[in-house]
Amino acid sequence: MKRIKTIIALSVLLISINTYGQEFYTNMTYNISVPMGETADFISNTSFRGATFNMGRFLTDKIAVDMRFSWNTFYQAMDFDTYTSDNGLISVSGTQFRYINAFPITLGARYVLNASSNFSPYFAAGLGTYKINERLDMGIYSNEIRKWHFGMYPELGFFYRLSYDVGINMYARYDHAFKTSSTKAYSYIAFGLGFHFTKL
Amino acid sequence: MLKQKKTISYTIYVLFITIPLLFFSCYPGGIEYYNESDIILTMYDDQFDFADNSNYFMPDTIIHAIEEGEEDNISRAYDGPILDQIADQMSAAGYTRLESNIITDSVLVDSADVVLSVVITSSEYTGIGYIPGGGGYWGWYPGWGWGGGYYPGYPWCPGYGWGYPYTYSYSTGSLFIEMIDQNSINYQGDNNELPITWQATINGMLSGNQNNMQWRIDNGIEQCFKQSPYLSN
Repeated sequence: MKRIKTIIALSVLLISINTYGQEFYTNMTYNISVPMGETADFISNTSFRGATFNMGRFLTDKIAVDMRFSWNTFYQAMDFDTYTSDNGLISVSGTQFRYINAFPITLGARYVLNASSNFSPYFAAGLGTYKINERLDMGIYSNEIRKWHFGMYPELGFFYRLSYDVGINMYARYDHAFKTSSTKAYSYIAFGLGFHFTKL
Repeated sequence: MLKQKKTISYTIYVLFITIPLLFFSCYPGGIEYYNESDIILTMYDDQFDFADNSNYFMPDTIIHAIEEGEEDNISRAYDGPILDQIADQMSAAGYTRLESNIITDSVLVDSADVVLSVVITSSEYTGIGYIPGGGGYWGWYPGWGWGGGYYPGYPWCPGYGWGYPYTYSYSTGSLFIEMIDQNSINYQGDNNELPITWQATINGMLSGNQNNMQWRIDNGIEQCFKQSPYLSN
């Protein structure tokens, strides 16, 4: 909660900075996400359920800052299998259903090339908090871990202007939520496609 | 220009509405068939020498564990096939069953190395669920025929402005097989704990279809032995 308050305070501060350009933008994109690292060990399936919402503004003609909300859902039904405890004394067999819901809330900056042209590639990076809910269902039993993580992302993408205030946004973003004292790290690459709206 | 602005506004509204709807209606499912609710758990005492204890006794009845004052609503139809399947698996693992029409059970128990105890119990679960979206993937769960239910993992997102609540109830059954070291049973004194050397539990939702239940129980018992290779003599 404390992290959310900090992020909101910082974003209000950023938006209130009166600088050159003052072009506001909103991105709404659909995500396909590929799990990486320990996330892939738990769920290897690509996620087709995800979306990202950005709100930001240009500080100069090349640099913008924004705030992002994403939601990415990962799911995998495992085949019937046997899992044995580390000491080998207990074995349990069944069908596991695994879920991860990731909700990143981040602040970021992006460096945009050719911002005034129709095709504007950019590089973005940011950090923030990642709420990760991981659930494991087996039989009639369910276990869920909900944890706030600190995380960061780099992103490569482009805006393609369709009209003076509407464009297409396409990108690849690597989301990484660092491990906590009790939970593992989560990471995935999200590919995004959607709309980029601008307002002067 | 004005028309274009209207189109953009419309697009934004549509996106705001459709993205959450898509999420809810496409939220991935879980158990689709009864057998996917089955779990088989086994544990054993690694200090016990199973190879040297190959004579066993198993009663010809199954204990139905029920609450005091409750009626036994667990069908006895499965008792015979369960005991037969356990006996088959024990035989395949190299154990010899001690049974007789003449010698009393107490004498057979004394002569056996290990005693198998088989217990069945059932539980009823009820609750209120919530189906977001009210269509698509979720819509058919309540019509499933076991009380209109799902299991306690759900619901996961109540409190949103759409969808509808429903009640669910279902029964689960558990079958326990316990192997007791007969030679270590303390018949005297205050210590009444049984020296269990191996325990297997099969747990799952109860379905109304007897053939399906029988198939799941057979598979479950087979799996108990499959995942316990240390039992084999």
